[in-house]
Amino acid sequence: MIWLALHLPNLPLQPCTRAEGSADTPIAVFGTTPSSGHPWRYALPRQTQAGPPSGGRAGGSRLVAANARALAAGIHPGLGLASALALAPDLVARPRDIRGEAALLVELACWAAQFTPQLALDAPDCVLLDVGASLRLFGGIGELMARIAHGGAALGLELSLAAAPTPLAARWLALCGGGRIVERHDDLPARLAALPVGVLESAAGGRDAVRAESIALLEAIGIGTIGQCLHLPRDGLARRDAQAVTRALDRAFGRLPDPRPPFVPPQTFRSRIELALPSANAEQLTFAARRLLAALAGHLAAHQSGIEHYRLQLEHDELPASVLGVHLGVVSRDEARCSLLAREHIAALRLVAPVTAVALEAAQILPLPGESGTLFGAQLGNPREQAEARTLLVERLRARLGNDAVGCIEMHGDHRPERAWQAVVPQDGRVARTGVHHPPPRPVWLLPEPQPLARSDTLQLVAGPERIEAGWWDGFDVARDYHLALGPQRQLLWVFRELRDGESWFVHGVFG
Amino acid sequence: MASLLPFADLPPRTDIWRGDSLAAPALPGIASGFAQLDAQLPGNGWPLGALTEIYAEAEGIGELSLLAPALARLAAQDKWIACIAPPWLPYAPALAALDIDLARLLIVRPQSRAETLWAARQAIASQACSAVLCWLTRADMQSLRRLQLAAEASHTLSVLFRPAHQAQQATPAALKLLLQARLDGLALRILKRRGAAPAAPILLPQLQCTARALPHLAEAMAMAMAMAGHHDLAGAASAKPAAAAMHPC
Repeated sequence: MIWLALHLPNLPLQPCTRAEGSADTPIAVFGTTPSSGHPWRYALPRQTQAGPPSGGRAGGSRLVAANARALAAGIHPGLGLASALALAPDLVARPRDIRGEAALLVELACWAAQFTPQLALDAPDCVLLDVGASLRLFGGIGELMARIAHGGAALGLELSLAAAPTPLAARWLALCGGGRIVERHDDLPARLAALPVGVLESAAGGRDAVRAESIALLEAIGIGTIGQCLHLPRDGLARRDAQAVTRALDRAFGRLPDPRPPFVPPQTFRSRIELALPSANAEQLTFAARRLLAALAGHLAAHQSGIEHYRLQLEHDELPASVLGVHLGVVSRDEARCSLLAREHIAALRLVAPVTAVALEAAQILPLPGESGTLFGAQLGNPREQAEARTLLVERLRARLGNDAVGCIEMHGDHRPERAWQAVVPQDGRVARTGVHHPPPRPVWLLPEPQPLARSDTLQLVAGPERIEAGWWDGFDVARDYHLALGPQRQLLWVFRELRDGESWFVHGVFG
Repeated sequence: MASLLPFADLPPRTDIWRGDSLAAPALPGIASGFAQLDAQLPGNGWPLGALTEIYAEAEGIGELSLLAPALARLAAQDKWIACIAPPWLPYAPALAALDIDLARLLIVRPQSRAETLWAARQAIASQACSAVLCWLTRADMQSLRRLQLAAEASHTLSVLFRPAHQAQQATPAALKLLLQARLDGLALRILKRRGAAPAAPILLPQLQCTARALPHLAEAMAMAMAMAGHHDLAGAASAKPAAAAMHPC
């Protein structure tokens, strides 16, 4: 059994930085939640958190996370808002969004479910995957971690990954900087020895929680690392009311069972990204939508399913949200296809106001089994791929040019030229109807309306007449004599004489 | 002349290109259905993976009939035939009579020139079309180059129909044809092709205006028209001495 921990070191920051492609703006998140147990404590150098907070009201909101740009300006966690703004006047300060963080963690778990069906949430900032059964499929733990890291970047999340035989050990390793892999139980003591005792705090909640006093006690007696902790007598710890420490260590080393409640991904998909600053830039909105679509693609892969339609909601500050319904044309979970169509729809949209948040909803999730790989690699003429390419082209053109701009034509059984064809919606796999076959010649081009001929136009009649007289029963009554005529530039025209007045001539078609 | 003979007798080699031979494109062309035309085209047919431009002196002199045999053949593939910004309504009964599968025909009506170019590029690049026919009234070098690049990366028959007065504009297309309607057939001048310099115009009597519509009537009509419009024919011939020497091959 091998557990992979996906830890979000900058979780408080992630809800507002996900939609930012570049880290040009300094962004910081402020919250009143006590940040003592928060992972930045391990991620950041210890001296930054040691001193008393400089400035800011006591009990007011404190900075809990900041992006690299803000940290470079000298901002560090624990600062008050006023001090932070004094250091970086262009700082974008956002309140902490605890619910958004929880939703983000669930979203990450839904996405990660494509790699293994056995996973667990480890609140507040970690997802644990039991990947023991998936290693062969994904080509080993290293490959799998590279793949997850790459996918995490597409989601816009900063991930720290670590693998270990027990979930707790994996989590501790991820917490103290990612990229570490421990494959055997025997290696655990050596690999965990250097970790700071602070990680014990994240061991578990409830009865098994390691209390802050216990950690303070350990630090006070000069125990700084897990390795040193291991040398302490168990009964001594128990006497000092710190059994939780020994239990946590036992679980991390696999000496006690550590069952995790399995996470079951929900059936529907709904996610939302808040933009750091309101924006009306199509590129930026597409970027945010792409983050959501990447998460959706993972979610669908985990369910072995696809969607045919999704909804993008662009939320505005005071006005109702603009809703874009995107049809894929086929059931698919192809991320590239979804984001391509999203881009066209967003580009064609006329925004009423700057957008503050982008939400994605896929209500109807349909089963779509995966495809078997072929022995000799992908073949180009795969009929299913071709069919998908055809519908994608139609949907793409419709997204940009409008639904009416793309169509097909079909024969219709009627003698009147205007009614002998009809427009139909492009549909893949349609079989052309073979209507009545007109033995007489018909022009390749039909003018949308018959054009009256002036008396001065001289045409040379070549053949005819062909009388078409029909339609008295449905209000579109025609009585015409059709001729072929040579035009001034030797193009062959289809002209008719209106039989009702016997005088007026019209051009109705061109033999192209 | 005698000294040239041994050279002409040399066996053909792939690493020597002779100035009088046509280029050999990577993909064989789609047979146009007209033997005289195929003989003059590199790849023995309409080029795939390159842009073709057709300049017609007037709309409706047979530019679509010229492509019809190739389109009928391409319709057998399970791909779209995209008509982008056609000048009028493509008329279903006539197209069906030309053996073009209507289920494969996709008609796109963009609102502007930029949208037309965009749609053409998407259609060519999508690999979902066997042929893309696009009617362009005006185009700049940059957008044509983009279309040509898209065409090079695909296996699509990509044809642009443009007005004849732009025929002298430089373009990146691999093949440029100028169509002229004549009383005895449709005259094609190859303005540009890969390989040998363009040869004499080709006359396709099969596409004579009435022959397209009424094959059985064509001969009688051509005679009648030649008599009736004799002075007109003389005028056209004197205006274009090159065309006067034309002979159906």
